[in-house]
Amino acid sequence: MKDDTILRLKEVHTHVNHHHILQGMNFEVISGRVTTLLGRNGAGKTSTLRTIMGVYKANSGEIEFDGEQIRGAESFEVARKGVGYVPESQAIFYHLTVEENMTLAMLKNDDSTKARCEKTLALFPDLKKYWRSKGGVLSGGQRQMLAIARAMVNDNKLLLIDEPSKGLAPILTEALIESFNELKKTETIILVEQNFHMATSCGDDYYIIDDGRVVHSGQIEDLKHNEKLKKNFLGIG
Amino acid sequence: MSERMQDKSMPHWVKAIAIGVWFIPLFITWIKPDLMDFPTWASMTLSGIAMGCLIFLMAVGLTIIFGLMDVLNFAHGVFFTIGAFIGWKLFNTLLLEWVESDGFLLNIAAITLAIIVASLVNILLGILMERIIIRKTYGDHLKQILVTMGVGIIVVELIRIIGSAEVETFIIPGWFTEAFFIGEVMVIRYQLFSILMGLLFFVLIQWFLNSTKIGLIVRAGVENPQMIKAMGYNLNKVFTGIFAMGAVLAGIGGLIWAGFEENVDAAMGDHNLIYAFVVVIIAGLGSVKGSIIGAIMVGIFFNYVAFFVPQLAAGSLIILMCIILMLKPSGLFPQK
Amino acid sequence: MNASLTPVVQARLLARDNRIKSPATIFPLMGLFVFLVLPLFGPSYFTIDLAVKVLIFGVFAATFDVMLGYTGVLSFGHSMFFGFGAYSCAMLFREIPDSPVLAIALAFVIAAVISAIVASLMAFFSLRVVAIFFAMITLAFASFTEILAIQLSSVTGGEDGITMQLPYFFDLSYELTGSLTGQTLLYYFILVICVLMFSLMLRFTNSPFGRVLKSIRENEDRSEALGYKTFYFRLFSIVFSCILASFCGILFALWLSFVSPESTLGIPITLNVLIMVLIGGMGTLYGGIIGSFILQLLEGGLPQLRIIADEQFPQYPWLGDITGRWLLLFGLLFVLIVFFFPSGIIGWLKQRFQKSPT
Repeated sequence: MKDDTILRLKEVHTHVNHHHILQGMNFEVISGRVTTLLGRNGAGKTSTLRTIMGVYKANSGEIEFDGEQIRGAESFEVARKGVGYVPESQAIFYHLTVEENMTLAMLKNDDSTKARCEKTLALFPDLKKYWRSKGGVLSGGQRQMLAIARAMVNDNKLLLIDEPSKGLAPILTEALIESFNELKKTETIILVEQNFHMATSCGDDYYIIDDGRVVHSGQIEDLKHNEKLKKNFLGIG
Repeated sequence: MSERMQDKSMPHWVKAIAIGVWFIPLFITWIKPDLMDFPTWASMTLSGIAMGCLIFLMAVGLTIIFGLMDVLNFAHGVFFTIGAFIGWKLFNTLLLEWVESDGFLLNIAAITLAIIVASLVNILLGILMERIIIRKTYGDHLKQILVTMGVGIIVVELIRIIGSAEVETFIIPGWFTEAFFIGEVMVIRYQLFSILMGLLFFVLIQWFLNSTKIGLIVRAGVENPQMIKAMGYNLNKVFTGIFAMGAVLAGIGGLIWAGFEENVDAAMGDHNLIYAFVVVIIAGLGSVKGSIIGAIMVGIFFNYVAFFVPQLAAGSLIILMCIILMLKPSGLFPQK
Repeated sequence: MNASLTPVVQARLLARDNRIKSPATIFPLMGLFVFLVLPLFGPSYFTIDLAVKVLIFGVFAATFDVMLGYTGVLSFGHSMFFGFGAYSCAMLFREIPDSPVLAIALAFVIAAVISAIVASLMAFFSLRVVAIFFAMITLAFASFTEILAIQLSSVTGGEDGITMQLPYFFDLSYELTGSLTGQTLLYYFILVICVLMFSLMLRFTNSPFGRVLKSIRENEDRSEALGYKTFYFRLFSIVFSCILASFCGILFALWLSFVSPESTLGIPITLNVLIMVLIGGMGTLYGGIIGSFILQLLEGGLPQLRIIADEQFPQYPWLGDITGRWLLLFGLLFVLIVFFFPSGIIGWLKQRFQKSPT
């Protein structure tokens, strides 16, 4: 596994509607690893993903992706550079069928994309079953699968996944963890999670975020058993 | 605005009444033929459907544009007026002979030519308007409403200066003015033509939305513009195209409407824009299917009321709007 | 311990001093003075007419500002309420021509009741639908109300409207002293009512109620969390604004002694007050008066521009065409202001002469 840094944030500040939500974000994402962003509600985790994606425009600082400066880029530009986004509310298109959701997701119509599509459907067989159904009839777990599948079909260098286990029953979370561990083998992922179990099962590195900046970082292995850290920053235990 | 109350979905008996109500006049022709006989009802209904189909052409543009990019263009009526004026100018000058003749082919050629010219002008105007003015107002609804109103006023005055400040007569191509009878019902060819055009474009728009990639992008964008952008699509370019498309549709609607009313005047776009608004209000934002249903509803309702109490025809639309809004404040088929 | 003033009280007194001496108090008082003494100088009808129109439409614009600038609701239906007042007055005069005083009093009552009912309905809708949708709905309503007024000619006099017979004490022929006539009396009546209405609006917006309104406009969710039932505040504010708007209609009907759909119910009326508020500045109340003054000047001065264009630049006939069309310039003014002076004159002045906050 290469040890390249594929994404680097330096002193990123973002303001949204007079609120200073990111107050100097600094972190790095290493290619091939799963970087988890942890922290309480409102800490700025989702805002960080949105800023990287270009949905929020950062006011200052640097966002370097695969050697390019992308601060200020439009979200469609960031997407085309190879960043896949699975937002917090899944944001699947309810009035469109699963097939149409996936068609939109595929930015190129070449063989490798089609092959990836097949692989994704093999990972999430339910999607094939509901291929012609509208997104609105899918269950919560299936919607999450569709949202992730959409991000997987392209040759993405980075996936941004926001709280995938939110609202899912524990058994679905387990299924999700399994698919993530499959996913890990080929993708670089930034995972935002409140579910500590999920974070520790899938994550490699972690950054704890509070008040729009990183307050602690390290490797998940160490975090698992550090009761003091867990209590202070995550309120667990 | 804080969370809106969720619309309750309509219970079945309400839906039944909503549909049944439209057939009351038909019922009247059966029990009280001296009040209104069947041929009259049929003629009125046909007229109503034709009127609805033309309003649909403006309403559908409005609703997709709003659905897609959250833009409400209070100047949309100018495209309608421009389409009508171009038709008027062409029919009175270059195409005068074609229009005065009774031959079907010449007439159709004239109409087609007029539509093409009007559409080209409207495409250009639509692109200019979107680029220069609408772009500057994204996200600020108040500014949008104000600016588009202002621009609308300016363009109408320019039309008065360049085109005509008076109400001018519009010549319907000869072949289309004739009527024929189905049983006892009189049908004017132009009515059928209007209905056909409306339905034709409805089918075209549905095909475009459901069977093309861009249509897919538009449908997704109407539902969630942020997400479709995050998936890699530059909605800005798509939007300019959709805006221009809305302009073209409105122009065609205006051209045909001019024949319906047999006149053109600079204020016609604004006047009909209100009707288009009513349709969008009834149909719900972003819905093509709702637009055609709502438009036909408005057209028929207007004609029914006009038959009994002509003065209340326009005012009665208030009642129609109120009733529907009471049942479903966001309209019948909102897509947002 | 001597009873020295606490720092808070001292600050309050200082603030009050500043307020009294500030331009925000001096200019309006000066303006009021001008309006008070104007008739004593025996001005032409044109001048008095201008003054009355500035007053009535200024206050009308201020009521619109209460809805738009303070409550944050854009409604194109304001012309409806103006028309309600105007037509109530005209129709009452027609029905009870022998008791004009009663007619005027009843007009206020009836206009208030009708406006309250319709405004409540409007407020209810404004909560249920998106702002743009609401704007469309009010536009449609206002448009159809005008059409109704034109069509129901037996009731409303149709397009020709209703001419009113003013009571003797308001009539031009009634001579008081010197050049003061019944019309002067009418002028002062209008002035008094306008000042009353405007003061009411000032009190309303500067009261704690008004401040809650401002907080609702800026962040509705937070206000709700703080316990304010935002709906009731909005409801009251909208009804208040619309009732006063209808009163303006009554005054207008009295001054012109004539109402018609075009002069009291048309969409252009709402557009006019909208631009007045924009010119003057949203959320300032005084902005409406300033805007009204400027707009009346422009409208009155336009024929002069046309003459200049025709005489000085006869080689460009299109210049004459353009200046001859008030609406065209109106539209241009509209767009320019929205783009370049969104906070209006008062906003621009505030920015220029910004004092550092205490």
